[in-house]
Amino acid sequence: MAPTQDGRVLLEVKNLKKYFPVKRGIFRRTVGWVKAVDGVSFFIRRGETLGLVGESGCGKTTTGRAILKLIEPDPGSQILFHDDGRVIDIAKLRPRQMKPLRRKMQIIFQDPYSSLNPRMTIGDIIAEPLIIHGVARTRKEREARVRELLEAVGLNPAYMKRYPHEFSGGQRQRIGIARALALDPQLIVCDEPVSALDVSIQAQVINLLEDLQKEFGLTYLFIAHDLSVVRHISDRVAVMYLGKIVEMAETEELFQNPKHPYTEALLSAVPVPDPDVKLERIILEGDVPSPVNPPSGCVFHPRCPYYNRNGWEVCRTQTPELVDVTGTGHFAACHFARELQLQGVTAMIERREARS
Amino acid sequence: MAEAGLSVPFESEPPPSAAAAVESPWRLAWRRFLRHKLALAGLGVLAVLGLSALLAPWVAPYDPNAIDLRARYQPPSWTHPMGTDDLGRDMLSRVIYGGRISLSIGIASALVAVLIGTLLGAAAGFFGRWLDGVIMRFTDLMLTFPPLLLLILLASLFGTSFVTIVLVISAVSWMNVARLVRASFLSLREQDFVEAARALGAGPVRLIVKHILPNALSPIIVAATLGAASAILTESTLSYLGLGIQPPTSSWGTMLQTAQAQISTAPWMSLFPGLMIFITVLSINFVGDGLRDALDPRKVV
Repeated sequence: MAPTQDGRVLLEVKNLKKYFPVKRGIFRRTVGWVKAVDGVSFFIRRGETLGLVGESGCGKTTTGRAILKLIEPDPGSQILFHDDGRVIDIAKLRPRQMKPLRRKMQIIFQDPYSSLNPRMTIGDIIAEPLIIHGVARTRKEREARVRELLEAVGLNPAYMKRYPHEFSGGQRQRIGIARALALDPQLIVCDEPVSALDVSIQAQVINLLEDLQKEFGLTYLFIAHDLSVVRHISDRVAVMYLGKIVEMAETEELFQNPKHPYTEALLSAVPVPDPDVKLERIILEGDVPSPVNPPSGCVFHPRCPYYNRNGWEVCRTQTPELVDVTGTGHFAACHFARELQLQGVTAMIERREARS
Repeated sequence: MAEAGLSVPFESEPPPSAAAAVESPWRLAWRRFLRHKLALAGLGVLAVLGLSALLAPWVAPYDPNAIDLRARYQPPSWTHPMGTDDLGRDMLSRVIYGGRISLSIGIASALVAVLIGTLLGAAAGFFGRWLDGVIMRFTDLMLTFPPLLLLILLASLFGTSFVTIVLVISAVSWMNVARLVRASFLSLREQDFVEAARALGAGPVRLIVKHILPNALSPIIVAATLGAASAILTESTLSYLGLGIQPPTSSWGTMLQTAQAQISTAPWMSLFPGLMIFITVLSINFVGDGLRDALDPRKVV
């Protein structure tokens, strides 16, 4: 995986790691490590949306926050930001050096209720980035910019003087988006931006994100666990399991032609809005193993239906690398990615219909 | 999600009349406070006490230190509503002037204690790591001393002027504030809006002053209020032990101390200062309760 030459790449993450210490006893001795993110590599092209999916606790959020240095990545991680021909390794920057880059990458949070300071007015919340970076110097300039931003996210600028508690979840999420947009960033990490919203409001916020992307040429890292949302908004999708990326491909390619058994199982769980169709769900055995003590070899092997059927030794002993399986940018970390015949979403539906 | 097109109109816009008065969180809290009857009564009593202490020279009927040996130990009467003491001084005037000392020591000690507690608690909660360990272990250590012992020790070491008494009282009472502030800083530090400010490039000063402290203020205000009540009590204790403000100036505590010898022959000498302490502390506690209810966001009515 070496897309460095690709001129369109905006962000390139290499071998990102974040282990959290597990401390015990009165001396707070470190007795182990939670491998929240364990050697994650991916890249995002300018203007595209990369969906990052996986179940709770797989390290999606930690990955997103580490990219913004809200969580300090472990040594050895590389987060390369391609900025007008220069390549900056964010992982190595000190907080002070990080500040100019904060204008270029922003974040939208999952919970619209905790992401806005309850003691600040909407206007102050959105103007804060302008003050921190000394963008709009006078009060008037700032107010004009806040107005502009509120209109851009579809809110009435008259609400500037109001406090967050007066707004609904969807409106608060719009306010959070306006704040993220204030500095004209290039990359926005969307950390489950619609998971906490009503389904009817989800659509509005997703549409807004898409419109803003077109208007401002934004690049999104879209973290989510809802596969239909991810399929709708992403150009490419990366699937995480237990701190590692197991598969990454163009969205339709991934949904129709998965190369990793975990992805196949995930896809089989997507609800189909047709009462006549009943998918044959692939039920994974057991629970997600603890990231403190992940399984040897392929981290997925204890729950993999194909391993359990065939008992391949290599799955237990060797960690599979994330490799381009098709030669066209379909990456998978499975020893048998080329051999296995896995089913995509369309195939799953058709098979069932043929039978009934 | 809407079918196919995803073309749903925006949610209905919120609160009526966008231009109407702004409901800031503080204003909302004040409205909730106004509904608390006991707290309002407490606030009224405190206002009367505070005003009479402030305007003592105009309110007091006599000079509090004017000795009249012909009028010693007089029970309450129309000329001396609270009676006179062992030197024939008017008790009402002395109680009014004593209120000045007691109230100001109470308020000043509470403020200083809250200041120390907030600074240490904020530093421990925000920066964490070794600083947290050092500060909190020191706090624990201070809490292990019996407060009375510490008070007597400090007061006898540093003397009995107004300033030293304030410092001594706050030195034994900042620990709870520090713990409180640290706890709310720890939880607020992890909130998304703090994380958002960090992602925007806000430095530690801005994070603390703009984002964390304003949201940690409610428990601090309540602690300061209740702290004032206990500081008044502590001051009385000190005075009673003879380590408070020295005569002829007197606080309610010193008056109690001089009165104890005559408790059976001139009970009014101890009754009135004691009553004042009782009423003041009770009122402050009512106000504190009202504030806690008004400021606690989980108790939105």
